[in-house]
Amino acid sequence: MRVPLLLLFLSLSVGAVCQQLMLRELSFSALPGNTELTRGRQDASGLMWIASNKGLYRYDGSQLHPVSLPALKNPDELSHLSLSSDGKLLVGSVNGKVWCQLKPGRDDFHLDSISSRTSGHRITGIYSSASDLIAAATYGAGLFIRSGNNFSHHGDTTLLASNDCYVLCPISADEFWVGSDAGITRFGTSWPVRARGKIKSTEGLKDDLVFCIVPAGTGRIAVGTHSGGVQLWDIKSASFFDQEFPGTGQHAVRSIRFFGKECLIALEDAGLHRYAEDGRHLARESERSVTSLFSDREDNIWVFSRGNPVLFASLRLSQYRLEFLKEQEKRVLALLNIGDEIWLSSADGLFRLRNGTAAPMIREEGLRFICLYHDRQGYIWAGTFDKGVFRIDARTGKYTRFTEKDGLVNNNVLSVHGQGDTIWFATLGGLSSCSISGAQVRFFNSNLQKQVGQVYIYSIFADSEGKLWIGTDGKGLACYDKELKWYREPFRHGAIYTIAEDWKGHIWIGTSTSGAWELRHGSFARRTEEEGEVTHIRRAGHDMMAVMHQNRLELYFSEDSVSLSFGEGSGFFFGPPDINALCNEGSRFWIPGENGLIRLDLPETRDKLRPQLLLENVLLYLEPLKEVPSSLSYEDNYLAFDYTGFWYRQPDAVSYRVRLAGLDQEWKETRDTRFIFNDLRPGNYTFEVQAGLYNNFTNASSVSVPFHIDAPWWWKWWFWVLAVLVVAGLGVLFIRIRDARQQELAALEHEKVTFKLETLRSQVNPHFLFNSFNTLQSLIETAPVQASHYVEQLSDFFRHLILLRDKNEIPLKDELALLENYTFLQRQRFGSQFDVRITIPEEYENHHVPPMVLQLLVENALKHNTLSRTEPLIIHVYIDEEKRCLVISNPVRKKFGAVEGTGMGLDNIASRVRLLGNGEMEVNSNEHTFEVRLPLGQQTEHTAG
Amino acid sequence: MPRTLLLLFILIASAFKTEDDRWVCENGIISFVSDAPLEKITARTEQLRGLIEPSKKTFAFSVPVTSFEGFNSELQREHFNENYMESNIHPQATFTGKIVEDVDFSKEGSHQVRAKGELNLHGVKKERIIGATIQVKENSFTVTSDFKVLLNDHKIAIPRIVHQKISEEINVKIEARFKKKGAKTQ
Repeated sequence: MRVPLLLLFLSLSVGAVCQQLMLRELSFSALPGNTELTRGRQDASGLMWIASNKGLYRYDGSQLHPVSLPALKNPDELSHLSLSSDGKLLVGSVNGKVWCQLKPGRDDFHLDSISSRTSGHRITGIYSSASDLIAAATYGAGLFIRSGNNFSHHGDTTLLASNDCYVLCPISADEFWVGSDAGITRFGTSWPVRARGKIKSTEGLKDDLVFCIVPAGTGRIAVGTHSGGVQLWDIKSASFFDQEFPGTGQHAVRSIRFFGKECLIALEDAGLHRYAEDGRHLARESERSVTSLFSDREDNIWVFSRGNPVLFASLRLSQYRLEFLKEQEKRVLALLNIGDEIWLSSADGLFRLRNGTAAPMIREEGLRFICLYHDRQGYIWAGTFDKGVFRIDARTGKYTRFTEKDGLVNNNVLSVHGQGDTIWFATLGGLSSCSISGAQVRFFNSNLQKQVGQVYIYSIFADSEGKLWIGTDGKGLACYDKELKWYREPFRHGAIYTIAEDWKGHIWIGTSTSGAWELRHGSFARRTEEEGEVTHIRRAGHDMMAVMHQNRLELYFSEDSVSLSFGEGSGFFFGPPDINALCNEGSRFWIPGENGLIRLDLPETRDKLRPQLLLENVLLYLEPLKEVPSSLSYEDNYLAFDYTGFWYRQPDAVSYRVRLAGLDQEWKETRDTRFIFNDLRPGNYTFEVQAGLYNNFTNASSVSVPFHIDAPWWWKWWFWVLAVLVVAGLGVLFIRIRDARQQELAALEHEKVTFKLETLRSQVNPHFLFNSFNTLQSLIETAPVQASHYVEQLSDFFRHLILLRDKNEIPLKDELALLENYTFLQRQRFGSQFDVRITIPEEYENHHVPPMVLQLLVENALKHNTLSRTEPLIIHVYIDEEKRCLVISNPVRKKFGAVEGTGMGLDNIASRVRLLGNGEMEVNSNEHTFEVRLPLGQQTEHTAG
Repeated sequence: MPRTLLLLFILIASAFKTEDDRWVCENGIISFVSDAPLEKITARTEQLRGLIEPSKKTFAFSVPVTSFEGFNSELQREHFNENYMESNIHPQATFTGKIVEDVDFSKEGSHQVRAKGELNLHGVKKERIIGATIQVKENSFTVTSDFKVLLNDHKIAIPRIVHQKISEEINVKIEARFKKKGAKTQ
């Protein structure tokens, strides 16, 4: 059985330059020993999950992270991964446990209650709808279905007719298929779940042991069996196509993946094969016995095989190894494709690659083909350096050479383009042309050729309107449309490498030094962000232009651009390819690469060209939040965001930019997957993150998280109103107190002045002087010694008076000294009719009193009372220790007809005492005694004195 | 005032003195070869001008870029001038500097010297030390030298494809006969 298959593969690969996927091994560090990665799946968030014999891992492109599943027993081997209809991961184990992910992108799983039924049996398929209906296929116990708390079972006694299920595949929203030992059973998806019918040998199924059921493009289902190979089911006609995939029937089919017009089929013990959808065998991609295939949303294929590392490749890239070229001559000079047939030139010659073989077409020493063109008549024109141009019959390979002798203007031909029956040649000697009628080729000197003149022409292009565009080196761009028009600027410096027309009919120009330009409304606008070399511009598919830069291919959809990467293993051979060494048909490109010729199938939609972005966590003080509350307290202002962009083809190409709207408007570009904001002020914010490739964010996927940080209570409006009121109140109070104080001071000043006036008036009153002089006269006569003493006392008195009158308060001892002066003077006059008795303990001598108060009070007493020798007027001055006041008391003996004082004396003293702030002066007067009590002021600091 | 006059006199005198020591070349020959596998391009000009002052050991050479003749076609010459050398912006190529060795120009015979200086080509200056031979004769001497110029060193960019026809390394050859300034040409 196996011999014919091997022979078949041999015949296909002899001398082959077959186009193979660029499979590479994924290496994961720090995996426990004996871990076998068995299958993979991407959930709706874009995160990749990988099952093993040791449990489940999540893979973000850089590392495998183990994920704990509830009730997973070590070493519980996982046997199944699939997705629910709402994009959550479903996990099954070899002993019957079924887990469901709670939310795509998260590590939280719950053990489904269906596990109680499936326990002990290998899970081979799980179906789950959004309406809480779950079906689990087992190997050994049939199919179990749960909806809410209702369970049902299908097995060997029902239409399923077997307890050994191999596969379960959702076909549409209302149907899933189960493959078992007894063919395919079709089930509905609404409760109660019923079997709808069978697909067996009677329906054309070649083998009833169904191992794989896979959607195969629109309207088709691929079915792989144990010994019947791969078959395609047409949903519309409900029957199998006649289509065969030769060689697949000899081995059990383990896995199938369709992509575009090709598919990958994994055969047990016979490796991984690529077939065209029409059944042609294209390549044997791997020798390994593959157990599981998975293709992700970026169109990468993940190949799992027991005991081997995971193989990985982009389904959009495949390559021919150009081993037929000599080692030194591997540089591709020119490329042309006619469908899938490739014409390729290197210094080694011109080759045709067809059906997996390379055939040399023209080989000659020193001959270098630098451009290739396929004309309408089916001929290939090949321009050379110095050797003219060749016209090759693509069918027979016969060729004719045309040189300067035949009328070609120059033997260096850099570009060829046909327009009707005319073929134009771009040469290092100007424009050349020939006309074709049947097999006749006639070179002619056109008028246009003369007008263009002798220039180096790099590129020539006839657009859809019949205009001819000519790109030169240093002379600019020329356009011929009835007459010749030159665009010297902006192409004066450098050469025009490439000319193309976009879907709107606009002309694009790629230059050697100034990037790519688009002619819009008669003037050129630069389309590339930077200057530099643009070697190729091609229309790729419906509304996409591909621009080849020095290190990347950039795609333009209408106004904006998307960068496309060529990572390790697909990087360009010697920098960007030579200007004629790239060809395409629609979105399929052939580009010389590091190890051969790369075929690149561009995705038609831009969402295939961006990483998926997942916001993994929002952290508050580095503690993950379950959910982001709409409002955070003012203290919760240290926030971090964890995000990851998934781009499995080249994880290191992912770059991010973040912005916190509300804080700043500028994007910050970063490679980190965590961004921290601390000490955020209260306010409204929106965290925005975008994931792009190679710092190109025009097509980025983005996530935004709005949140609000509350103001603290002292930032609320009512607090501010309160605060303003309090401050205003305090201000008013302060102003009032200050005013009162100023009034008091003014009053004190006034009292002082009045008092001064009063004392001066009384002391220097003429009576006092007159009396004093009388006394003095009498003394001079009677006791001259006493008289001189009197004069001394008098002058002492006046000196004290002058010294003290300006002060607010003085120590009591100074006041007493003054009083003694005064008493002495008056006693000389009144003799023993009057006396002042002072009893002040020494510790009170430093207390303060207003100046001249005692003298004034004594004078008052003398003025208002009669004096006699029998009843002398005794004035007592003492301290009331209890009340801390100075008391001046005298007996009352009213003088008749005594002069009434102005009354100002006592009032004045009282107000002065009050203003000094020592308390109130008391005046107690009755029939017998008159008593004035003065509160004592502060003590003088001894140190100061 | 007399002092200034004296100073002026000394200056003029010294100028005249150095004038005696200047050797010039009016029509030296410079040629180059680009030897690429696909094409060999040669060009030469006789408009190399040179000046050597033995007392100061200084030298200066210059050549108008547009004066080169040869090439494989007139169009090639045009591209050499306009696109690669950009002679409208950088019309002259110069080499100025000092001779490292001491040379007795009065002694007939051959001297190996090294000329150290700045080669200015395509407006891009490069410090070079270039070996040369000086053949001293009666009343004249001849300088000959071979050296290489890398296109990359002087930022001379050749577009793709044609790049294959031009060598990355250009071989340059000069031959210049110097006469004492003021001496009559024969």
